[in-house]
Amino acid sequence: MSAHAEPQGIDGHGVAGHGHGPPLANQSSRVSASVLGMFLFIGSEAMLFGAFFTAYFFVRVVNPEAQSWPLEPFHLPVFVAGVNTAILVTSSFTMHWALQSVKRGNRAGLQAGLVLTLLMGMAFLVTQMLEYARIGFNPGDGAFGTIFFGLTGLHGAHVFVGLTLLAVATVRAFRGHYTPEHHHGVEIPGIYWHFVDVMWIVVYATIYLI
Amino acid sequence: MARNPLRSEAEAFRFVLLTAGYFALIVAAAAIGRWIGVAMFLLLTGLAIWRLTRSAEAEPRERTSVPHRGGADVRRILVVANETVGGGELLDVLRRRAEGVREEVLVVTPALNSPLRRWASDED
Repeated sequence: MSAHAEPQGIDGHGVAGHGHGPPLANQSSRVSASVLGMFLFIGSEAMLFGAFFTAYFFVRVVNPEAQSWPLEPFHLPVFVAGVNTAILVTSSFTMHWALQSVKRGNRAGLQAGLVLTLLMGMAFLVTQMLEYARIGFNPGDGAFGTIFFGLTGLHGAHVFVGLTLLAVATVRAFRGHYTPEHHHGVEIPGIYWHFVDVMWIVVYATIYLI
Repeated sequence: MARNPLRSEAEAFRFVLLTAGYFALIVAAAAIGRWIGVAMFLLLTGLAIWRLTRSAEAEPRERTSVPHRGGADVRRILVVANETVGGGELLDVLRRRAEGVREEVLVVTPALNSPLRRWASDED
């Protein structure tokens, strides 16, 4: 986002106005309210993931009985999770494409990017659920099962929230709501989606690979 | 490189790529040997912290562009005040600079809030 000065009237609001919604509230904070809100929300979610990763650390590193990972006799679907990772990382590219398109006024690119991101996010969730059904253990199978399903399930819940945001953004994009000047409704879900992707990269690398 | 990843979607996307590269290198090193992986983790984490501290010192000032408003006879005067703008000397200077033109004066004074309240509220 770039900073720029808008013509100010006596009451401090934009003289030209935006043409939709209520008048802008007087804002002198350095960070826009919507970005600040998403920043604080993602900060709290990062701390939540941090708590789960702390539990994972104790199960894997501190536990003197954990000689190998995954613990015997469990096995993790590394390849399928790797494909899922590729899907999610690709969805970040399509999300970025959608944002770049709306900034250039390319509405078709915005719509295509959002639809592709939505479809790939759904594919990720469906694949994750299929793996849950076939993985061979459940959350009750000791601390290993608990932390595995806890971490991946927590991430899956965040993907679901992200898909909800994307679905709303997609519907609005097809209704012609966004412009190069006003597209916070796509930018904020985009930031959240990239956060979801980052968390999955961390989960995949620490749980499945290392 | 080490900007706030939540400032915009583009910054967040760049953070995704950096995170993927970061973990790819660590996993590759760990596949060779456990302690090589640990060394790679320490190296990359130290590098990231170093870049963060360096970029925090050398972040370029954000340039702003203000479109010209008003006619050719309008003069816009920026006053940067460290304490008070009520002094007679300052007013005399402003009158001299505003002679013969229509003036618009913008006064910039220090905010007296704490950094937290200024950042998270609409009080200056």
